Amino acid sequence: MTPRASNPSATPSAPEFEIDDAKSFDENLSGFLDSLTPKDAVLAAVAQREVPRLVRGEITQAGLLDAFKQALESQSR
Amino acid sequence: MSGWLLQRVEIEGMRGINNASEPLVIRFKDNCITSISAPNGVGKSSIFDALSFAIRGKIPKLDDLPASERGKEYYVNRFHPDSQGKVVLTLVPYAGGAAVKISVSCDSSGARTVSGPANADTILREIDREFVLLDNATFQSFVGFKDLDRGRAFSGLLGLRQYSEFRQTLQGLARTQPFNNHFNTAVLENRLRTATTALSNAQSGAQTAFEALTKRRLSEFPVPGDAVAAAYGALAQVELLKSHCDGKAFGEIDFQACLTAIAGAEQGAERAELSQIIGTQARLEAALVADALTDADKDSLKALATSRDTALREIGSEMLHQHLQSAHALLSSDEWHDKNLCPTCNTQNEQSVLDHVTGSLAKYDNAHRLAEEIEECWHTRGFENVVGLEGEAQDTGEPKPLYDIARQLGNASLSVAQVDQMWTARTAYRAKIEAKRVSLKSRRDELEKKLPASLVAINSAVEAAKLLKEKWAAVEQARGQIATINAEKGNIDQIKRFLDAASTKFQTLESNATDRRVAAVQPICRGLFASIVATDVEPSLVKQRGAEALSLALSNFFGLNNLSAQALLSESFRNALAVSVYLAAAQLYGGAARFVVLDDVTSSFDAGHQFMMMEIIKSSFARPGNPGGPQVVILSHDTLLEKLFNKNSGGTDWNHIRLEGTARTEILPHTMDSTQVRDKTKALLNAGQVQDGAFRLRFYLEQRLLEIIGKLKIPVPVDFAMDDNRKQIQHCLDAINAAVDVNKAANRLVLSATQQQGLRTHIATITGNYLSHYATGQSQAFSGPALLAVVNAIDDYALCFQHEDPPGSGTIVWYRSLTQA
Repeated sequence: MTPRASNPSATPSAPEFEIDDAKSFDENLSGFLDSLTPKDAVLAAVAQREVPRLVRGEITQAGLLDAFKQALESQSR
Repeated sequence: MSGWLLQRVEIEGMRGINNASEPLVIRFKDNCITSISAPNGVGKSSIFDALSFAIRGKIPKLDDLPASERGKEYYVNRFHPDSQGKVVLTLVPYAGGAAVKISVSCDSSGARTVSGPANADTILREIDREFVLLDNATFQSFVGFKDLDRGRAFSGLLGLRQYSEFRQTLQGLARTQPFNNHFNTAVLENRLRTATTALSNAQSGAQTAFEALTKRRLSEFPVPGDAVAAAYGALAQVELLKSHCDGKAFGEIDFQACLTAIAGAEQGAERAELSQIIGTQARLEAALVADALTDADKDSLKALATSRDTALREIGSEMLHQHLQSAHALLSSDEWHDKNLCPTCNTQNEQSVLDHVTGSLAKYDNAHRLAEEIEECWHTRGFENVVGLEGEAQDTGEPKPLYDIARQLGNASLSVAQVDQMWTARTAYRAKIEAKRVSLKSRRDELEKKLPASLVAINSAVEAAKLLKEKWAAVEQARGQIATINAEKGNIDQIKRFLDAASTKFQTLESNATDRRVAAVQPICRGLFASIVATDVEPSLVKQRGAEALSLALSNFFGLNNLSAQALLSESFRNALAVSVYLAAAQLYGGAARFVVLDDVTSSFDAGHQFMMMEIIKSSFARPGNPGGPQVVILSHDTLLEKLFNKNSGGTDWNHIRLEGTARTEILPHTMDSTQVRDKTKALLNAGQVQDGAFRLRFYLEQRLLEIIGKLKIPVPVDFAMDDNRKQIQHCLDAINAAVDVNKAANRLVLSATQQQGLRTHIATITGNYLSHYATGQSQAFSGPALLAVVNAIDDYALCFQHEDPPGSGTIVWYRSLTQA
């Protein structure tokens, strides 16, 4: 059996997110949330919408957890 | 570049600054260092506190007092007539533009109200950076902190405080215990166990009933179509039941109607009794089969109950538990620095109170864990079936203690005594059921002998079919419940995995950013430290990747390497190191705060190191020496430093302000026009406030005498600035007298004979009415009229050093010196 040659350039992946020192926290937070794994698209969408509100103190941690759960339940209905 | 510079601050009614209706106003030049000096107790640190309240909403030195001291009630000046404090900040954009004025009020309880432009709160939050307000305590605590606390403070310095807080938030969200508590996963697990047990019992009952009805084994669930057909066929083939089965599915058959038909066919109450006996026998059989407990099961449950009973004896009430949890939260927070200080009784302990509380809470956790294990054991080993046994053994009206025990399981768990009670009762219930079965069998045999055999078999088949229908329904219900619970668990697990991944990812990102910024700060910090201490010592900031802790080390200590900074550095060098870290961070990661206020930050330095630090601030840190640097405000009580401030103040890049006054009345800047000071002094004296007027008079006398010394360039002794402030006026007069005498002896004195005579007259008034009492502290000897005479005397004394120029013009100017007009 011949080992398969690796070819990392064959399927280019999205560049990994890094904190940009020239950008504000809010901008970097937005970039981080956008970089969250696509396989959890429903949860990532909730995070992109609700985490900035959590950081601003507009919702609680419990509120965020409930929003995650409600989103998954809505998806399965 | 964005950010804000400080243009002006007005303070009234805060800390040691009363200034009722006439706020202390300090103006700052945006391209200039501002130094503010004052004797001890004259409002210098009150300016720092007022800025802290305005920007941060808190004054740490008061907030850290024991609760009984009510520190917040001391935010407001105790003499202010309205018990209201107010700080007005005027900020100008660093890049230019219109100034904004933000007013921050403080009521007598320390509550803060911000008013101004719509974004006032946002601006205050933006400028609330760790290095905006620095005092000696900040530096000392930074070096004295444990590595973890220092690391957290350092994150803020690197502009990463929000990142650190967000990382902690993510970690908190993903932390298993609170996560599980939020979603009640323990309840969910219990529901799942109960539904699983119900499914198992229903399947077992269905199998028994199916076998009785069809004489076949049933081993598949969900029930296959041929099994349903077999059950249906077993009834439908009976002639008597045919009409009840035709055109109906198995589940639609009315079994009660079937039984009524059988009873009708035989027309006897005994048939009904037989039918009831058969049904009861089936239930008793199912209850006995379901209870498959062994002594080993009981021993396991009892062992857990024994451990829990022991654990309960080591803990107190739930109220104490809540108290310990509150204490733990407080002790663990950044706000509670001294972990050996008890927050409840304020006792200073030799051991860590946090460790003690953590240990106590661990005992509660242990008891809680054992209760959960008992509950799990109860469900997984099938102890619930004992409750079913009780339901069959005890007749209506008889006590059902095991039902009560099972119901309280989630709240109070089980004691050893209850386990024993349960096991004894189980044995008795089984015996009682066996006795019932014997009795029922005997009666059934008796009835079956009397009744036709064919109908007995049909009756048994209908009863079995009825039970089968119930059990199949129970199977489906339990399966539905399990599916729902598993779906919910799946969602919760998915959220947990998502949060775990997000938390881990963000932790890596923050670590990367921290590494970059530490690498950038390190050389600047070393450069600043080397410039201040000027010795062969090089500090290192050591931060482990992925960890919050920050260690301070010495990469070089006079040729020795990698040693502890905390262990080796003197207090002044430790301060120098902390100063270097903060200033380096401020230089690189200032953000929106483009100004730094330093309060007595050189107090541990000797004169040489003080000078070095001021030179570094002036030449390479602050504007305008460093055009991209922050605007710096220096507060100091140090009279040696004040000499340096006075010297620097001659240029355009340094503005020095001296404060005078009392907490009871007013704090005033020395730059205030002398006419204003005189008028305020007279106003106090005319109002009968002699004590306050006397204090203000000293301020006025010093101001005027120093003005004379400055204008006429009169030499003063080298220790002039270090004099006790009670003797400052006398020393000013001595210096002026000595200079006058020397020049008069040399026949070079420019003062007229009348002016020379005036000097002696006015000095006599100043000395007799004021100085001889004030210097000895006998201020009770003052009177209003006498002090008003002193005000006039010092003005007339100053006029002796001035002349009309040109003669006859009416324009009065200072002599250029004692020898030059």
